[in-house]
Amino acid sequence: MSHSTQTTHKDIVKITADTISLDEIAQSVHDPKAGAISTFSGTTRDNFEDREVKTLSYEAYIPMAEKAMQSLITTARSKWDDLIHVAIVHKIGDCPVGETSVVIAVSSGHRKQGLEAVHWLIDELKVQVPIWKKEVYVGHDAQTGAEIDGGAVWKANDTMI
Amino acid sequence: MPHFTVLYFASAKDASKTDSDKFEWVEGITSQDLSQLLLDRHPALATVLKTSMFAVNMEYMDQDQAWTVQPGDEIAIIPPVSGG
Repeated sequence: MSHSTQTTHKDIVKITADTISLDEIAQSVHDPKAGAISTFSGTTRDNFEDREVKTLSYEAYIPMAEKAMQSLITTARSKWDDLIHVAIVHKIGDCPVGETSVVIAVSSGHRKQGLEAVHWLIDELKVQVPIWKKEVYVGHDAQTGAEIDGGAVWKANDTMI
Repeated sequence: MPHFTVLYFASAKDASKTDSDKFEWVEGITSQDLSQLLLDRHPALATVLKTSMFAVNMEYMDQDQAWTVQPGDEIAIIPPVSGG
């Protein structure tokens, strides 16, 4: 098989304390050869089992997390050969309710492989990448109803390796 | 003296109240010995260690296989992850 021009494939992996923007990350995987840009954007929920979440924060083993994210992209490229550029960006530090915590964006020649790769990448990220989420809850005083410390919990995703 | 480093994250960091420790390395420290060394230094880690994995030099270790600590290793305690 021969191609008239060679496309350089970009792998973008980032863990950042800054606010992350779906638009910017989708833009970063744009390519003239792409017929599709598939994305996943994860946002933080305001509740867990009827408890009101006040704030959330993420912590990462940054070098290992970036390495694990790169390794997921390498594996995705071996499973789906139509991928052009792939970006995975995860936020750390405080992440107010409703804010974006993770974005995955994949450009591909056609939509099918891009959509499958995005789905696979977020599932694997949640199992393999060393990042942790802490939820801080709002409590209410039983008598006055005033807001009090409701405790905090390190979360665990459903599946472990 | 050679050393190795242990990193603590999330619930492991809360339990140990530190993000890292240095340990003196001697020949033949197994993964089981390591768990005991960690508990001796931080008894509060007992609960966390039951559900955590180890990563050595940023690679997850197979929980069913014994391994030994090498001088200079960076060993991380990885509690159940919750990224995404």
